[in-house]
Amino acid sequence: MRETGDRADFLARARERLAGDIFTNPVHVPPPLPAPGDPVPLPGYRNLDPDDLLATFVGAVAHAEGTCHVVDGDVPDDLLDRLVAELDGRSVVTSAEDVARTVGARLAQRGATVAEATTERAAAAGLGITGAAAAIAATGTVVLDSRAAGGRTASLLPAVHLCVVAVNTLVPTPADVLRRISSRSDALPPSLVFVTGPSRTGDIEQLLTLGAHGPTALHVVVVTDAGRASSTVAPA
Amino acid sequence: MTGHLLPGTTLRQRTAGAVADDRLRTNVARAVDRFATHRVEGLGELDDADGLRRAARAAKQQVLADLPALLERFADNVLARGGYVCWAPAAEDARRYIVDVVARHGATRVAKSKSMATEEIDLNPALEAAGAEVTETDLGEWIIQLAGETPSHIIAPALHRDRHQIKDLFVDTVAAPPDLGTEPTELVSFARRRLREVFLAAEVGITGANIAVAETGSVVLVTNEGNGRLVTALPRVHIAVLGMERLAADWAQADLLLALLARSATGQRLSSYTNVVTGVRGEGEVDGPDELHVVILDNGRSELLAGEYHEMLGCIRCGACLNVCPVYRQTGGHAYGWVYPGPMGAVLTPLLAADQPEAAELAGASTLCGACMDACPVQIPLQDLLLSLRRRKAEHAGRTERAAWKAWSTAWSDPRRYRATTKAATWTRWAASLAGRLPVGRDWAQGRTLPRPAGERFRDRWKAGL
Amino acid sequence: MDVSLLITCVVDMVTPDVGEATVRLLRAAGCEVRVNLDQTCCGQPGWNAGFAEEAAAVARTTLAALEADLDAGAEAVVVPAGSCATMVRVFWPELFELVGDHDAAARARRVGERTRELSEFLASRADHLPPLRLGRPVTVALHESCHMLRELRVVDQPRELAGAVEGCEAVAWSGSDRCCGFGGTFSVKLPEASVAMADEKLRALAAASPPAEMLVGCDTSCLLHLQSRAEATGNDMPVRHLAEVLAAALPVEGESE
Repeated sequence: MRETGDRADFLARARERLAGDIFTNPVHVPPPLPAPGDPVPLPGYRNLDPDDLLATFVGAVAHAEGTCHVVDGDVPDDLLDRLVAELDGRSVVTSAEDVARTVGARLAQRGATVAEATTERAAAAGLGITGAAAAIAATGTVVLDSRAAGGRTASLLPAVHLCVVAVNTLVPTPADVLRRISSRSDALPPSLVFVTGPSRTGDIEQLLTLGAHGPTALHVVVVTDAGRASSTVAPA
Repeated sequence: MTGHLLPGTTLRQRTAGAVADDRLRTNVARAVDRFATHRVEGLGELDDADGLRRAARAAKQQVLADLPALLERFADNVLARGGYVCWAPAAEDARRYIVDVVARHGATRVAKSKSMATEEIDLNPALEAAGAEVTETDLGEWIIQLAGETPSHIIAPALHRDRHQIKDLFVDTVAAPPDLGTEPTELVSFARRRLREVFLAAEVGITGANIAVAETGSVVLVTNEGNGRLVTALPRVHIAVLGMERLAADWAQADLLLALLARSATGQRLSSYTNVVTGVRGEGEVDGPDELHVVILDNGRSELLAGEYHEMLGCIRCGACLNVCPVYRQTGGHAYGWVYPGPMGAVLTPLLAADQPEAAELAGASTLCGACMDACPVQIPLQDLLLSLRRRKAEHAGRTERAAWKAWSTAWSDPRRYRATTKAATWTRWAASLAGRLPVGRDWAQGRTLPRPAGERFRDRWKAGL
Repeated sequence: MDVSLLITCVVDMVTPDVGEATVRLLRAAGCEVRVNLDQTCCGQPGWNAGFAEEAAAVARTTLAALEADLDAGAEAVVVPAGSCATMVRVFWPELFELVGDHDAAARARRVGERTRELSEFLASRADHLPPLRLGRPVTVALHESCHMLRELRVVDQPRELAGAVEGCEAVAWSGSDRCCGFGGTFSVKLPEASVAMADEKLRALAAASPPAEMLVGCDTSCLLHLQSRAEATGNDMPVRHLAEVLAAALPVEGESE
C-alpha cells in the first residue's frame, strides 16, 4: 500500500473550512473567481518575434549565457574540432537519441572516447551530447525528455552540454509545450527538464557564476533542413 | 508546529543587533537591489505583467477553493505513476515518515535540494538523530548549514555572507585549503567538487516542490544550480515535501505561474532548470529514482483556508517582497526569527507558529508601506494581513497598552476633550513626559530629537482669524 | 468652490504653519475653506496598532464633522497628508464594517469619494492657481510617502506642482519612494530599525546629484521623523511640507520669500 495516512482525515479540516463562504478582502479586492473552463490568460513575451522564431531563440539562448549555433544539415566540423580540443583528453557521453549518437560517432572519429551515458561514465566525461524534445524561442529553452534520452546524466554531469535541436521542434513560448501536455497518465516522462542556459549561482555576493553543479557551458546547435526556406540568421 | 523560533530574543533585540551590523546591511542592500532591479526588467518583458499578476491571484484563489479535490487528484496521479503518497497533518508525521523511508533503505547519506518546508518541520536534526548524514546541496543552503545558521533570504539563503566570510567558512568547516582564492569562480568550483561527491554517494534525495500539478501528478522543481536535477537523478529514492497549498490545477495554471516565478525572484525568463518530475525511473532509463515519495504537509495550513488569511496560501516563495521591503533591507532575514523572512514571513510565521506567543510580534516588523504588495506576483494583500494580525494581537494586549489606546480614544473621540488635551500647555507637558519618563519617549529619543510643540495649534489660529 | 479642510492632528498640534499654508493655497485656487473644529483625528494611529474599536470611536467623530461640512455645501474634503487621506478614503469603510457600524461605513464611503489629498486636489485645479514663483531659487528633493504613492496612487502631482513653481527645481534621488521608517508605532517599537531606515534616506539625500537644498514632502509624520533624525546627527537641511513651498511661491503683495 503506497499511501500513508488517511486522506479523508487529512482533508477533513480543509473541507470543513471551505464549506462556508471564503473571506474576500474588502480593501484590495480580488478579481472574480474564474468559472471552470475559463481560459487561463496566455503570457505575451515582448522579446518574441513571431515571424522569426529562430532569431528570437538565438538571442534568448545568448541572454541565458548559452551559445547557439545555427547550421544547415550537420553539426559543423569546426565546432566538433573545438569541442574535442577543449575536452583535454576527457571522454564524451551521449544520450540514447540517434542525433546524439551520430554526433558522438563523429567525435569518436576525431579520437575522442565516446560511449552512451551511464552515471559513472557521465561523471567522468567532459562533454555530454543530447537531442531535445523541443526548443522554446521566447526563453531560449531546450526541453529534455528522459524517456527519449534514456536517462538524465548526459546533460547534467559533464561540464559541457551539447544539445542538438531540429528547427521544426522550435515553438514560440513555454505555453506551446506546457499547455499541450496531455493529462493522460503516461504522457509525461519521469523527467522533463526545461533547460535555459548553463548551471549558475549568485550565492557568492549575487555575482553570476556559471557551472554550480550542472554544466558550465551549454552549446545549442539548431539544425535547419537543407532545402527549407529558413530565416537568414548568421550562426552564433 | 515546531521550530527553532529563537526563544528568549525579541524582535527588537534581533533587529537592533542586525542594524548595528554594517557588513550585514551592506550585503543585504547589494543583494536586494540587484534582485529588485532585475525583477522590474524581467516583468517588463511580459505584456501586461499586472494583468498576469491579477490572473495569477485569481488562479490561486481557484486552486484554494477546490483544494481538497485537487489534492486527491494529485495524489491519485502520483500513485498511478508508481509513487508513494504520505498525508502529513503535522510536522511530526512528515518527519517520522521520512526517517522511516531513509531507515528502510538503510540509507546513511541524504542529499537535499532547497526546501523551506523541510526547514519548517526541522527535518535535518531528525534525520541526523536517526544516523543519516544530511547535506544541503544548494550552495547558499550548504553555506548556512556549515555555519549552523538559518536562511537569510528565500532565494539567496547566504546573502548575509560575503566572499571572505564564505572562504573562511570553507576553510574552518570542510578543510578547504587555506590558500583557496576568494574569487566567486574559485569558491564555486570548490563547492562543485565537494558537493559532486555528495550527489554521487547519496542514497536518498530530498526536495521541496515549487509547484505540484494535479492534472498529471507532477512535481515541478525550479533551480539554477542543477542540484534539484542531481538529487532527483542519482539517488535511488526521491522524497518531495510539499506544502498542501502549493498546487496548480493544470498545466495552464502552471505555465502562468512559471512565467511570473523566475522573473519575480531574479528577473530571469526561466531559471536554468525547470524540472518536471512525474513518477519513477522509466524502463530503459539509466538513472532516476526507483522510488518517489511525495509528503503532503498541512502543519497549520488548512486552518488558514477560507478565513482572513486565506490569500497567504497563494504565496509561491519567490522572495520579491523581501527585495523591496525597507525593513528587511536594514535587518536581513535572521531578525525575523524563523524560516520565513521579510513581509511573507511576518505574516506566515505568526500563522503557522500560532502556538508560540513570541511569533505574534512579527506583525509589527513593518511600517505598512505597501511595497511588498506591489511586488507580489500573485497580489497577496500583505498589508491587510499584517493589520489583521495586529488586531488579533491587540486582543491579547497588556493592560498598559490597552489603557493607553483607550485613553487616546476617549480623549479624541470627543471634540472638547481633544481640544483640552491638545492645548499648547498640555502638549508641552506631554512632550516633557515623552522626553524622559515614558518608555515611548525614550524609544523615540534614541538617536532622534523630539518634535517641538508649536506655540499654538492650527485651530487657534483659525479661530483667531485666518 | 467650497471645500472642507481635514487639518489632521499632527499638523494641528505640531506644524500649524503647514495648515496655514494649506489655507492660503486653497484660497488662491479659488476655494472657500471651511474648517469644522469638531474634527479630531482620522484614527489611523489606533487602526495601525490593531485597536479597531478605539480607532473607530475617534474616526466616527471626525466623520461626523466632515459630513456636516459636505452637507452644508462643501464639495470636497482636502487633506494635507497622504496617510490621513488614505485612512479616510481607503480604510474607513473597512474600519467601520469591522466594528459592525454599517451605517458609518456607508457614510464613510460617501465622504471618502469626495476626499482628496492636497497635492492631488491642487493639481486638479492647476489652472485656477496663480503663477507660482519663489523669490529665491531652491532645489528640493521630494520624499514620496508610502500611502500616497501606493494606496492613493498620487504619484506625479507633487512633482508637477513643484515643477510649476518658477525657481523651484525638484531633483531625482535614489530611493525617493522608499519608506522613511516612521510607520507610527513602528518608530517606537523598533526604534533602531526606524532610525536605520531614516539614515538610509538621509544618506541617499546627501548623495543626490545635483544636490538638494531642502527636503520636501506631503506627509508631516514622515518629515518630522526624518527631520528629528537629521537634527540629531547634525544635519541642518531644511525640511518643509510641499504646502509651505507652494504657499511661499504665491503672489503676496510686495512680499517674497
